Amino acid sequence: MSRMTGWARRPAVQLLLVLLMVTAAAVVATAASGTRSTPVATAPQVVPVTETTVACPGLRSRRGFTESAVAAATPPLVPGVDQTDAGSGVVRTLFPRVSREKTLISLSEPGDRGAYVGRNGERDSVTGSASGSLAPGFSVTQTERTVDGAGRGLASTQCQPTGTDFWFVGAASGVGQRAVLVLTNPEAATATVDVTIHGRDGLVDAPGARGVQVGPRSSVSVRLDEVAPGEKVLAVHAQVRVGRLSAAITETDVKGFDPGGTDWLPAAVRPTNELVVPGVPPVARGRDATVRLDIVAPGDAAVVTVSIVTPDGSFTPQGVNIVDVPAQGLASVDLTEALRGDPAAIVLSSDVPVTAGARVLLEDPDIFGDVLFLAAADPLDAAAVVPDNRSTKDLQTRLILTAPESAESAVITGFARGREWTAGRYSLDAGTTKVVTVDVRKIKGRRVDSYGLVVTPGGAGALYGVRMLDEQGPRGPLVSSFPLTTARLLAEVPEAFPQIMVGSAG
Amino acid sequence: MSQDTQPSPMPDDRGVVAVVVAHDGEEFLPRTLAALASLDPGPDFVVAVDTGSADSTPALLATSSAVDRVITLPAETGFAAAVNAGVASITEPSGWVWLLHDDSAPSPDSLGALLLSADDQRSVAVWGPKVLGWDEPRRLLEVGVSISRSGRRHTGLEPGEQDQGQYDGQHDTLAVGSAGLFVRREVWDELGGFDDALHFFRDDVDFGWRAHLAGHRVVVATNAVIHHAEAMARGRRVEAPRDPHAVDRASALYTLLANGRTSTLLFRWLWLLVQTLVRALGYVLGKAPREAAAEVGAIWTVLLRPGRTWRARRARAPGRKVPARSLRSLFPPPGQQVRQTFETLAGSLSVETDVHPSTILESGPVEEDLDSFVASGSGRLGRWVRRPGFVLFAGLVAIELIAWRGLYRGGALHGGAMLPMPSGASDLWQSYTASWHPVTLGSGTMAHPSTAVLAALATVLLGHATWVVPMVLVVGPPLAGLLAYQVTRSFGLSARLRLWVGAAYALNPVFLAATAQGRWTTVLVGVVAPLAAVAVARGVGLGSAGGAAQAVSYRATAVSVLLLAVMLALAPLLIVPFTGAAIALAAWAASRRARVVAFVLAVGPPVLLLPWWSVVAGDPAVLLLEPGVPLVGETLAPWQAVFFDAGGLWSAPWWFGLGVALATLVAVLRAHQVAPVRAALAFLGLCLAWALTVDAITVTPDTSGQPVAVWSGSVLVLAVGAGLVAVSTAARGSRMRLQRATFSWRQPTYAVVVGLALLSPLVWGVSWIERGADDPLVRGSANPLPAFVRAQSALPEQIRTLVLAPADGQLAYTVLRSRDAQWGDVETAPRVDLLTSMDAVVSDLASGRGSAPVDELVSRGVQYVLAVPPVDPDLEVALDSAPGLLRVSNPGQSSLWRVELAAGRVTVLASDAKREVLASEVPGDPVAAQVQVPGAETDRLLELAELADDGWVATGSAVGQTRDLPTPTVSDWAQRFIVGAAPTEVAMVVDNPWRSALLWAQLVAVVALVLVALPGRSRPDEGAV
Repeated sequence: MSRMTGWARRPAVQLLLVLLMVTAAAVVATAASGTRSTPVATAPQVVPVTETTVACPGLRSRRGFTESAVAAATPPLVPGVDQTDAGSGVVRTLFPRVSREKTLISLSEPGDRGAYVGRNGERDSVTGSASGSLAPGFSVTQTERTVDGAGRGLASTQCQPTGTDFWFVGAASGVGQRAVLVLTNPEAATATVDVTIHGRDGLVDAPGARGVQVGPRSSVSVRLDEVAPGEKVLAVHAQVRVGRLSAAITETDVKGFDPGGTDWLPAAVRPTNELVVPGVPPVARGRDATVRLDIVAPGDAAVVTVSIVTPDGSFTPQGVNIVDVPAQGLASVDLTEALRGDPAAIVLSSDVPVTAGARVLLEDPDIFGDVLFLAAADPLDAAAVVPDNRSTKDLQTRLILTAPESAESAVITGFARGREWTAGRYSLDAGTTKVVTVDVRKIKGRRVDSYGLVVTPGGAGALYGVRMLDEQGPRGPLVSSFPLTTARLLAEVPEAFPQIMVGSAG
Repeated sequence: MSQDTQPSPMPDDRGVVAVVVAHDGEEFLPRTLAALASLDPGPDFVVAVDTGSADSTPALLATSSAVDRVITLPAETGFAAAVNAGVASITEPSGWVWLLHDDSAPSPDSLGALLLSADDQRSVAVWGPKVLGWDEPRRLLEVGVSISRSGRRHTGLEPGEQDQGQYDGQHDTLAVGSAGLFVRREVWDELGGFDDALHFFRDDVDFGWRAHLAGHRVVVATNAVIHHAEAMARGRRVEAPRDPHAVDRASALYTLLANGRTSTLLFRWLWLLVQTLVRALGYVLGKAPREAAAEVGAIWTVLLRPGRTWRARRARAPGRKVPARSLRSLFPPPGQQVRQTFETLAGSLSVETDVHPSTILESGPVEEDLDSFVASGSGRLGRWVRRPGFVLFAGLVAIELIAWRGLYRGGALHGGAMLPMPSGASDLWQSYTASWHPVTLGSGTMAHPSTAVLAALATVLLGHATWVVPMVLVVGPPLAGLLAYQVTRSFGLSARLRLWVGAAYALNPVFLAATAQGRWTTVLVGVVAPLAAVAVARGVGLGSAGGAAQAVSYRATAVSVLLLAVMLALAPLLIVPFTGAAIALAAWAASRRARVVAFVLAVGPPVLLLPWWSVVAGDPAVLLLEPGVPLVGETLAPWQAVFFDAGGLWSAPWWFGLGVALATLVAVLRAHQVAPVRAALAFLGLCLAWALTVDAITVTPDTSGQPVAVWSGSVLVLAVGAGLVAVSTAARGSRMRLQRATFSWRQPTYAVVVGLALLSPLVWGVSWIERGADDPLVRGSANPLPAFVRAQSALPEQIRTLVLAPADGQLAYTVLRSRDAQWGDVETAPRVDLLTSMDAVVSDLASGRGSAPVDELVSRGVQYVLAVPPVDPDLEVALDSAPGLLRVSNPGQSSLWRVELAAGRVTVLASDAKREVLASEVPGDPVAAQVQVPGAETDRLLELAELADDGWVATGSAVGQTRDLPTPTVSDWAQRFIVGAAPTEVAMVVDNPWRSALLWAQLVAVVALVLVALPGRSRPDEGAV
C-alpha cells in the first residue's frame, strides 16, 4: 500500500477500483458461460426392424360356405435394409407343441407375397414372424368370405403385433348379435388377461372376463353374448397382466332368419382427447347405408364434439355435433342423415380421454346386407402395407384417405409377382376425404387381380386411411374394411446413457 | 522428653527416637529443625540420616541443637535403606520410632498427641499424623493412605481439599505416609523395617500393608499434624530419582504383587499387564513418551521378573498372620478411580477457562462454549442457558427444525444431489476401502474421499450412517453460526455484532441452497471453515487481534492440515483457494518457520488425500465436482455469484445477498487501516474469482458422461464467511467515527447499507422457514424395484434389473442389484466408455426393432426390465413387442418385464453357447463370488457379469488341486475365466495391492497427524513422598 501513489491511497478510489474489478470479472464470467455449448439432443438413429411377430385370430373354413385365407407379404422397397441377410418370413399355425405346428406361408425375399386358403374345417390360430431383411414391413392379413348362411358377409382383419392393451368399440351382444373376443398367445408362456366391458350405462359386470388365462401358443375365445348378454353396444378393453398376446373381436349378425353381415372389429386407439375415425365408405347408388358412431369414456363423463370430413370439406353435423358420454359408459350417435352417403372420416374432440368406433351397415333394399366396423385410428407415420388386395369385376379394393388438418399426399404402390408399380399419386386438400379405387394392372399380358399395396404418406401432417373390400354379390353387397396402420419398417433407436438415479433431475 | 543438646538419658521402654532422613534439603531443613526443636513433648533421641547431600545440609544438621546424632550414607542410598540404616543405628532401647523427612515439619504438640493416642490404644502398632501442606497450611495432603488396584497411591482426598476438620478423629487405614510414621520399635523390628527393594515410592504403603498382614493395626490420629512439602514427588527437589514416574510405577506394581493375595496373583498379574499397556497407549496419545516408556519399563522391571516378586513374597510369608481378605475395607472401591479421573478432567476444564478465548483450539476443535465453565458450582446450567451463544444456537436450531418439517419421517432421505445413505458406518468404511464396487456392471474406481469423512462421522454417531446427513443439514448451519460467533470473539468485536455474524453465517443463502439440494458436503465445509481458519491462523502464528505475531504452533498446524484435508475431501475444488491462500501466507509470513508452515498447509491436505489422486489422474474433471448426483437443472448466471448466490435447483433470489455484498464493498474503505479486513477481503476476492471461473465452465465426468455445471457453493460459503469477517471487523467502532465526523452523504449511505446488512439474516431466515427444506430433498423409497424383484435379487443367483426412464428424447438407464442406489455410487460408477456395449443393448431393446438382445441382457445378469414413471407409451409398446421379454404384473405405476431366460451374476458357458446360472453366496460381501462349477467333457468359460478388470483373480480347486484360473486371450466386456472339465469350486475376488498400500499409508498419516493434533497432557501428579 505504501508504494501506491497518492490518489490511489484514497479509500474512495480503492472502492471504485474494487467495484470495477468485480463488475469486470462478473461480466467476463457471464459472457464466457454464455458460450458454453449446451448439448444438442441428436436425432435418434433410425434402423430397419429386424424381427416382427404378429398373431391372427385364425382360420375358420367351411366348405361351401366360408373361404378363409391368410396372406402375408414383405414390401420390396425399404431402403437401407441389408439384402444379404436372407432372413425369413413365415406364417404358421399355433399349437402348444411346436412340433405339431404347420407352416402355411414361407416368404423368400422382400417383395414376396404368399397366401394360404384354409381347407374345410381348419380352425387353427395363426402367427406370422419375420426376421432379417424380410422383417421390415412384414404384414399378414386374413380374409373370410361367406357367401351364404347365417354368417354371410366379407370379413377381414390385419393380424396384430402382440401387445398388452387393446380397445374395441362398437360390438354388440343383443338378440341375433354374436360377438367373440379372440385372444391369441403366440408366446411360450401363459398370458393372463383382464377384460373390462363397458355398456351404455357404464361398466358391465362380467366376472367371466376377469383373469382369462391363455396358454402358451394357443388362443382363447370369449363369447361376449355369454359374459355380457343383451347389450346393444359394447366397448371391450383387454389388458394383459402377464405375458403378451394379440386380440381381435368378430361379430356376426342375423335378423330373424336372414343373415345380417359379419366382420372383424379393428382395434381402436387408447383413449385420448382428439380422435379420428376414418373410413366411412361411399354408398353406391341403389344401396342403403346406416352409420352409427359409438364413443366410450372409460373414466369421467365426457362431452364430445363431432365433425365430419367429406370430399367437399369438413362440417359440423347439425343436431348431433355434441355428444354426452356417461362416465365409464357408451354413447351412440346415428350419423346416417348427416352423411347422406358420402365417404367421410369422423373427427372427435373431447374434454376427457375417450375412444370410439363406428358400425356401418350397407344393404340393398329387399336383399341381404353386410356390416363393417371402423375404429379411431392412428395417422400414418410411414408406409402402410396391405398384402392381399383384389380387383375383379365384382370386387373392388378401395382406399378411403382423409387429411383432417393439413393438405397431404399419398403414393400408392402395388406389388405382385416380383414387380412393383405406382398405382397412383394423390393429393388431398386440408380437411377433405378421398376415395381411391385401385386400378387393375396387367403384367406380361396377364391381368393381376391379386396384389399387395404400399401406401406412403407424403405430407407433414396427419393422413388417415382405411382399406376396404367392396363386392357386389348376387345376393347383396359384401363389404369389409380395416384401417391402414403404419408398417413396422423402421425403428427409432433412442440414445441410451447410464445414470445412477434414473428419473432424477440429473 | 527434653530439648537438651545433651544426649538425654536412656529413655525407658516408652522412649521415642525420631529419625530424620535428609538429602539436599537446605531449602526446607531449617524449618524442619526448628519445628523439631520446638516440639513439646519432644523425642528422646533424634537421629539424622544424610544421604550424601551436596549442599549445606550436612552443616545444618551438624550445627542443629535438635539432632543428637548424624549418620552419613552414600548419595545413591534409597529412602527405605536410609530409614532402615537410621533405625538400626539406634542401639539405645526405645519403645517408639518416629520417621520424619527433611521437608516435614511437625506441629509442636504432634508427638504428644501421638503418644496420648498410643497410650489409649495399645493394640495399634503404627500411628500416623494428619499431613497438611507446607506453603498452604490448610491444604490436606494425607489422612492415611491406601493403594488402588492399579497401584495408584490413594489418599481419598479431592485435589486441593481444605482441612475443615472433616476427617478429624482416629481411623484405621491401610498405611500412613513415611513423613510422621510413628511405629512401635518391636513391630518395626518384627517387620524388618522398610523393604529395601522399594527405592522411593510405596515404601510406606508396603510397610502398612505388611503391618496389617502381621496382625497389627494402623491408625491415623488427626490431632497430630505435620506440614509436608512433598518435595521429591513434586519435582521440587533437584536430586530426585532420574525418572520419578518410572520408579513410581515399578514400586506400585511391586507393592501390589508382593502383598496381594496368593490366590488371585495370576489374575492380578494379567490385569496389571493389560492396564499398564493401556496406560502406556494413553500416554502415547497424550504425547507423553517418557511416561509411556516408564509404563513399559515397569512391565520390564517388575512384571517380567517373577523372581523379584517371588523373593519379596517369600520374605513376607513368615510375617503373615491375617488373611489378606480381611483387609478389603482398607482399599478404595473399584469405581473410585474412575470417579476421580472424571473429577480431575472436569477440574482441568474449569481451569482452562482462565486462558485467552482465542485458545479455543487448545481444548480441542469441537469445544464450543468455553465461557460456560467460568462459574463452577451451582447455577452452572442456568447461566449457560442465558449465554448469548447458546441463545443464538438454540434459535437457529429451531429455525432449521421448522424448515425441516416435511422431512421428519417416511423412508430414506434422498433427492437433489443426495443419494440414500447405507445403514451402517461399516458399510461406508467398506465402500471407502473396497477394490470393487457393485454399481451397475461393477467398477474398480476408488471411492470419493468424502466417503471417509462420512464414515468417520457415522462412526462418531455410533454407526448410524443415516443420521449423519440430517445431523449435518439441521445442526450444521446453527453450529457454523455458533462457531462464527465464537471465533470472531478474538477480533475484539461486541457480542451484538458477533451475534449478527453468527446468524448471518448460519442462514446464508449458500447454506440454504445447499441444504435444499441435499449438498451436505457444502454445509459441512461451512461448518469446518471457522475452525480451520482459527487453526491456520494459530498455525502460522498470526496474531489474534491487532496483528501481533505469535509463535508458530505445530499442533495447530496439524489440526489445520487435518481440517483442510476434510474440507478438500468434501469439496476438492477448494484446492485452488487453499493453495492461493497458502502462497499469500508464505509471501507475507513473518518468519521462516511460518513460511514452512504455510508450505505444509498448501501441500499437506492434498497429500493426505493421496489414494484418490489416482482417480483424478484418470479424470481431472472430478477435481471440480462435489460428490453426489450431478444436477443439471437450472444453471446459474455467473454474475449472481457476486451476491453469494450459488444457483442450482433451488436458491434464493440473487438480491437476497445484496445487503451483505454492499456492506462488504463498503468494508473496502477500511481495508487500509485494519489488517483482518484486508486479509479477509483478499481471501474473499480469491474465492469469488474462483467461483466465477468455475461457474462459467461445464465439465463432463467419465462416470456419468453427461455435462454438468460446476457447483461453486463450497467456494462461495468461504467467501460469505470472509465477507462477514471483513464487514464485522470494519464495522468495529464505525458508529463512533461517524458520530464524530461532520454530517455528509456518508452517514445516510452507511445507514442504508447497515440496515440492509442487518436485515439480511432476517430475510433469509423467514424465507427459509416459509420454503421448507424439502423438494428436491425427499424422504421415501429410492428404490423403484417391486418387492418381489428385490427379494429375488438377494438370492444367490444375484440377478439384476435394468431400469429405464425417458430423458429428453434419450433414455436413461441403470442396472440395479439387490442393494439400493446409495451414496458414493455416482463416484464409483463404471466409466461410461466401458458401458458403450450396454448402451447399445439398451438402445436396441428400447427401439422395438424386434431383435431383442435378450442374450446380451442375460449375460449381464439382467432378469427384469423396469420402466419407471412417467412411462413412455412408445417404450412400453417396444418392450411389449420385444421377443424374449414378457410383461409381468406390477401393481405400481411402473411397468415390469421379465426376461424369459434365466439370468445370474455367475454363469458357465458350455461349448454350445448354453448358459448355466450358478448360485454364489458370500455372506457380507457383495463383490466376491464363490461357485461350484459342475463337471463336463471339455473346458468351459466361467463368466462373471462384472466389467473385465485385471484385479479379478479366480482360484479353482478341483480334484484336490488349487490353482489360479487363466483368463481367455480374447477378451469381452465381462470378466471371464477358463474352467477345466472336472467339477471345480471357484472363488473369485478382486485384489488391488496398490490401493491397499496407499490406504494404509493414508491411515498412518492421519493417525500421526491426529496424535500431533491432540491436546498435550499435563505433567503427572501422583505419588507423594
